[in-house]
Amino acid sequence: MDTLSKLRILSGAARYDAMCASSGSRRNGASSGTANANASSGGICHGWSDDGRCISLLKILLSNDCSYDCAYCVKCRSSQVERVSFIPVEVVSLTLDFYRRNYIEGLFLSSAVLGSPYSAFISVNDDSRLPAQPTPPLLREHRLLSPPSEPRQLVLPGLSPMPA
Amino acid sequence: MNSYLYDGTAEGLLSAISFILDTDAHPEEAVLAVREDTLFEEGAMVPTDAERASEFFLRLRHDAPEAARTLFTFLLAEKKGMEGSLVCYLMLSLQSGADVNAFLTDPSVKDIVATAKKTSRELHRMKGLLRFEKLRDGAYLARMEPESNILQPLAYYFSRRLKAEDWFIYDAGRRTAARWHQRELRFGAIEEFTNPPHSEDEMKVQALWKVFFSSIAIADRKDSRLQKSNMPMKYWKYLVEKPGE
Ligand code: SF4
Repeated sequence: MDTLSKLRILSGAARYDAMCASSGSRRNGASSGTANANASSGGICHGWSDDGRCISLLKILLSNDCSYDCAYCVKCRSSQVERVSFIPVEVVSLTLDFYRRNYIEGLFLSSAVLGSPYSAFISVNDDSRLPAQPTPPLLREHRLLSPPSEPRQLVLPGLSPMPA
Repeated sequence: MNSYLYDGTAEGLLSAISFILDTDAHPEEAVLAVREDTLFEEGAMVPTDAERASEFFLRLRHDAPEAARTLFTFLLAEKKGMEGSLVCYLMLSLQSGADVNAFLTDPSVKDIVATAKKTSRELHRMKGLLRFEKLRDGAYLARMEPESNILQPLAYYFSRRLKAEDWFIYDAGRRTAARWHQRELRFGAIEEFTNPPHSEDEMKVQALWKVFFSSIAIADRKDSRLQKSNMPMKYWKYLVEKPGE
């Protein structure tokens, strides 16, 4: 599936998350930073969606492919929805392409539990197969606990294979 | 009551105000206007003196830093016809020091502070609403038509935020531009502007953004009044997600 169709599904799935608890962070850019020089501390809104809420972060799910079955959730295992997952490089390019055009302040990444809570935790920065890109601005892991002792998983089981 | 004229530039304005405050016995009654070269114009032309203007500004910054910031923002608004208020405001600032902006019951303070506030609100809004497009040569271009002349502070802001890119910001109303190239910021006027060609992937990225923008909104809670009050329609012209609306 192409990035555009994934984005439609995985941003739609994140739309009920609180929107504006986002941009008030202070972050000074490294002088060599390619994209993310400086996130403003004042709280910058980059637009207002049709329901009037402020948009300042690219708010998406990494995946809606969940192995849990929480009764209240539309993404739960027994629900009949289309399952999609971004590959890390897609998230990185989307974030940087949007940041450089001043559409967003940064990324707010959530995810369903893809595999186990441990395997679902990835660090986009650590993935050695990603192109040499700087740290995306404001990468936040949301809902996913960082694994206490297990080695970090670089490959997510169930994810579409990385392009060569 | 004495009348004075100046040449319409910011330096001319500050020269004249400094002159009035130094020499006029009743600066609060002085009338100051831009010289238009009409037949019935009254008033003494105060020559523009760049050195005097900058000395005055430095003194203000030292004695009343808050007022100096307000003055800078006020000047960006390029409002004519408020010179009288500005003379009173600056006189008060130099007399009372830092906290002049608290005297909102004084009509001149109220006028100057309100205009400066409006300008800084526009500046803050543009920090979020400015949209860059990637050009074929890899540089980025943002176009805008703000009410006040915010190009300079806006460009300084983006020189920190988009440090490693090459970019232009073009004020289409004033035909002025800022360019960040090899970590150096320059300003200039543009005689004739033709839209340069986009990079290959520009339309693809814009399409992605539009998809995000429409699918992040909750359809049942559509509220275009709230949307427009946060994002006035005069800014929509250059927004990727709201083009031409
Ligand atoms: S873990 Fe999260 S995404 Fe998965 S079913 Fe439960 S609530 Fe939904």
